Amino acid sequence: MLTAFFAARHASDEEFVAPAGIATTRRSPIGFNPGDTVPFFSHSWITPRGHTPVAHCSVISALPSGDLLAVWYGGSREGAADVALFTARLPSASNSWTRPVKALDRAAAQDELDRRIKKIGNAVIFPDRTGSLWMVYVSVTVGGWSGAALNIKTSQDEGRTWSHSRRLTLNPFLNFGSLVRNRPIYANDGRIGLPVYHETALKFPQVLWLTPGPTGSVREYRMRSLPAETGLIQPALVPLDHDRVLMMLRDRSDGRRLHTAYSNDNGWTWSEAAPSGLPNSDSAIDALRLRDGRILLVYNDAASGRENLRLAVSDNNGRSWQPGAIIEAEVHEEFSYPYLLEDSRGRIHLTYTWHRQRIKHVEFNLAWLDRRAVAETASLR
Amino acid sequence: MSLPIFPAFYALVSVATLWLALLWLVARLDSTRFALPLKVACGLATPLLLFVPVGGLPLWSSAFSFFPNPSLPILGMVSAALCRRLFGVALFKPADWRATWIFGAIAGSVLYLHPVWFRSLDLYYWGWDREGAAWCLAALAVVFLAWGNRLGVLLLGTLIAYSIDALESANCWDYLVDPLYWLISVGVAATWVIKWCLARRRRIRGCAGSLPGTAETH
Repeated sequence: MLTAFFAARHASDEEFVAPAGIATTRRSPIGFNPGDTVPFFSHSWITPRGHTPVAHCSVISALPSGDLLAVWYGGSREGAADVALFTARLPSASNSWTRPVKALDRAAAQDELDRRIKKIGNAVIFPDRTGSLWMVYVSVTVGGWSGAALNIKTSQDEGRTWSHSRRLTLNPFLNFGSLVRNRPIYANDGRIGLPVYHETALKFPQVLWLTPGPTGSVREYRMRSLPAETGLIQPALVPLDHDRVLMMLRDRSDGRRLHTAYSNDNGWTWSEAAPSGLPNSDSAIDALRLRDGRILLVYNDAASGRENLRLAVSDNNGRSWQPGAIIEAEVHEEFSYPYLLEDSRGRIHLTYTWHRQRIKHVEFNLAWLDRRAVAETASLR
Repeated sequence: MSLPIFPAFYALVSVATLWLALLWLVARLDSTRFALPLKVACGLATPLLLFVPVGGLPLWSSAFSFFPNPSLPILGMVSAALCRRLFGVALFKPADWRATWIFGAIAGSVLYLHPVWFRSLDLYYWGWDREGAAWCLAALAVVFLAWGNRLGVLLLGTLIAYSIDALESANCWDYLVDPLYWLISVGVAATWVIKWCLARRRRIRGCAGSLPGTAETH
């Protein structure tokens, strides 16, 4: 009777098992030209000069209309009460971003969540299968980022207006400690696996499984933690073939190596994380599976500091990496929190924090990527 | 997913807790037995105080900003204490209180501290399994009810609250234990242990003192 009651009221326990399949990047057939053969590279600014003293943690999403939408946070400094989440749009027929629009500030979050909010921070946006756009953002009631909790907003009009925030309870002790940085994976049964991480006392990666309800609501959610992976945060998930998923992790330990872990059941359970051959300066990375099956990585190529931003490519599911182009390099400056996206034309978009002041957007194609990779390999010989 | 009834539940917890706190405070200020009008006045003052703005939010919203998911046992204990203060009716026997404190200390310690020692274990995850967690709660309630302990009633209440999504959390363990309940339980249990140790020491000293030949002879 008890079972029947709970089964009637809530989603069945099918959602308590690993997804049967996961959406992967469609691999191009042999001979398919995934874009222009002429190398292409351009850059633009998402934030106008002086928009906010600090701009950080950008994310972009492709919209059904073909536009791109970026979200980031800006304010007087990281963690300040005046920090707000901003969005800007790159219309499909345009080369310049629209002026930033404030999507949420601390006061609005406090009002929507009906509780004290000290500051807001990282946000990610991503679409679901019904066309709703989701925003998951960090808010803090007390303390630093270790006191963070996650909240969800959704949009039915491609990010022009947003629903009220909903708080997610993800951790047992006062719901402290969950943050978000990277894009989700999509299970074939509709579930969304969002990589998040825990920062209170112990620091470790987690995957938040969201079950969407009608019109952008959350029907169910549950968190799967990897508490054994202490010191590894900001997981980036890359769906591979045959139910495999690659997880790449920022290293907060003294080892300062980019770590990788693998799942053979669509992100449900994970192997022990192992250090890769690449350094990590305790900074965020992003990785993306390209249409030709390779994995593109963007990272700070140093064991300390964030003075450069570099691409790397793997053609063996992340086991080894070939160095690619250096996107930025400047002594005593910061280039960080990169985010990648491949659009429907096969163009690759990269956004990142530039000098902590602005958000920069770089666009290139595979022809440019491969030519630069050859050049980098040659220069290393 | 869940009906938005948790604000009503939070209001209930707030009113009960603040009313109890006011009654306790009044009793401290005036040790004589206070009359019904004073009890009613405290009751009337409670909802008003809960709407006093603190940092731009009503007091109760501010409180739940920091304490987002009060467990059912803590509501039950506050209600039992309030009932005793208001009507002089003891809903809980000493054994019930003891069981509730011990349960809070054990359940909280296991839930909050297990990742420190067992890194690969995530017990909180099993609280998302609605059916499994509900069966677990039901079994616990039956055990305590069969034992004649009223903690079983609180656990039954927990099961009902969980089934109607009375909290913001969707995780069953948040209905069963919360950090405040855990910390108070640990404090109470620690006090018992210290008292027991002191009493034992006194007993041992008393026995030693009464043994022949152990008295000071100098």
